[in-house]
Amino acid sequence: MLILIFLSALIIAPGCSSRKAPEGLRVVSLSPAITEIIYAIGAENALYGITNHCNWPPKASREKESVGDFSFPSMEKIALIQPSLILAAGDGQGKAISHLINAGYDVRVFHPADIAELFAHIMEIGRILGKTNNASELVKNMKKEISSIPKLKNKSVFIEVCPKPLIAASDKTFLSAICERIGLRNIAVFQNSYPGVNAEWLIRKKPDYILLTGCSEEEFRALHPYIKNSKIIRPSDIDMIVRPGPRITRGMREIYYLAEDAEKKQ
Amino acid sequence: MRGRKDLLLILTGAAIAGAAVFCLSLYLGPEGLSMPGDEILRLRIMRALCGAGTGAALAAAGVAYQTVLANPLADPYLLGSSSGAAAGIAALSFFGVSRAGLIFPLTAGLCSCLTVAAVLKIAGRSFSKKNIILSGVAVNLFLSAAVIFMVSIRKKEFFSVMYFMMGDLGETRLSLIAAALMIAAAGSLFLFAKSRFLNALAAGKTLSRQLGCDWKKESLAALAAASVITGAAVSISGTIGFIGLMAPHIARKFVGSDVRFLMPAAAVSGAALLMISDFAAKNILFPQEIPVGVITSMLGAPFFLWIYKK
Repeated sequence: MLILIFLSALIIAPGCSSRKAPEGLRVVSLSPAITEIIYAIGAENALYGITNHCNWPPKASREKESVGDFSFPSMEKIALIQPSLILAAGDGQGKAISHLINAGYDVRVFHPADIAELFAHIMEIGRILGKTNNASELVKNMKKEISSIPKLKNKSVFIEVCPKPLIAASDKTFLSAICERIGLRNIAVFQNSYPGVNAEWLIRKKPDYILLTGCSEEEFRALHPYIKNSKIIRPSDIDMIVRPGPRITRGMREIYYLAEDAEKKQ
Repeated sequence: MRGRKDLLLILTGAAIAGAAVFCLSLYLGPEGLSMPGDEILRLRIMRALCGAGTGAALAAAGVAYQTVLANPLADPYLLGSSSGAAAGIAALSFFGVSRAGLIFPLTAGLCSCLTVAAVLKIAGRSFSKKNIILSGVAVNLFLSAAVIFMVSIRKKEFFSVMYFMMGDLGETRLSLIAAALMIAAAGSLFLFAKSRFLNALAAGKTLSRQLGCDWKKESLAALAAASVITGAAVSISGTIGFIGLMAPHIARKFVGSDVRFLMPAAAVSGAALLMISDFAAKNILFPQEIPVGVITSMLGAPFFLWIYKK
């Protein structure tokens, strides 16, 4: 009798019956960049869950259910949504992804290393969500936009991720790839993606630019008053460059103009 | 038993050795001994000041804790004093208070005092070695959890606060360093002025009473001063473990237990020990950096076990 009760509980438990999509595709996006891609290709109807960090387009957070944090999403909220597919960014989500896979969910990771891979990922997301034409249109527009951005010549950059401890985005990151594309060579050549570095090393390396993504210019100047030889640039909206999504073209253009302006001011 | 003249000679030697370590930390880099550029030299001066000041402060606090509690294992880190100060600083950061002036070292000092009071209350009246250390560990764990809770809410501060919890001598804001070091210096001078009482206490509570000391009041004052010193040190350098344990024991080997000599000798040992640890933290994986607290804990944990087994 007890065995029968146990088995029937297993069958009707919501967490267990949620593995199959009851009606069409039910997607949960665990990455703000992927959420932006889904909206940009017009596939938001298939999107049922996003993270607290998915704030673009602004209507996303109003329309969609949040499943919590980027790195530690709520397994219970995800179970309630009953997704048939979970799209994740990978970086910083290792634990959550392995929990979700172990729970039987279909999890796909999109972690582009460069712009070419981002285009391939947009096409793949478009194919999965049945929006191939929109995806290829988006990629075409982005390629056109990127090819119109001029290139800086022989300039080096240090990409700051956190001011204290001083953490860099190394040459293994997507951020580095978009800087390379506009002619900014990343001085942080390391095996790991986000190494903590010594301020003395940064002073010695004298990069032409320091691209801030983790703090304001005032904050950086206050924390590192002895780093004087590099021009500091900071885009108006950091999300445009740290999220490998449709807005990187605007971010890249802004970095280019900020660098050019800083050069002229000197 | 060394004479007064010998002890003064040892102290002078220690001061010269400390000054030499300070100078070396300015001119010794990953490429060996060299004349660094202006910016790097200024950066190293700030770092050496933080290292020397924090090391000396933690050592002075360690001498006071060990003497008052008659516990050779007492140390600002193990007593939870450093964690209390760090929790106070994390709370200020959580509420968006900017890191400048006196508010950070003073809040850290106050939180450090409250934490030590809580640890001693939990440990009970006997102040036994094990009770104090176990209470310190429990309070440490609780406060670490509180800090992680705060940074979980404010994710932006996550790396900074977590790194701070492991010790970091990279502070460059002169106003903050000056305020913290002045508080630490004032507290250390207060403790040094209490040398007579601390010596009497080391000889036993009865003797201290016979010498006319108000044992309870003086002990509380010394513990409060040690906690304020710890708070000031933590406000610029984060939680750095075991310096307050190792430095007094090293100094004791050379100058004995007379607090008049032990306090300055421990301060110099602590300063040198932290500057050397920081050199290792900066250069072992250069240009990547290891939090200095990792190095001091790697040295301090076996030292703790050695003292515990003795």
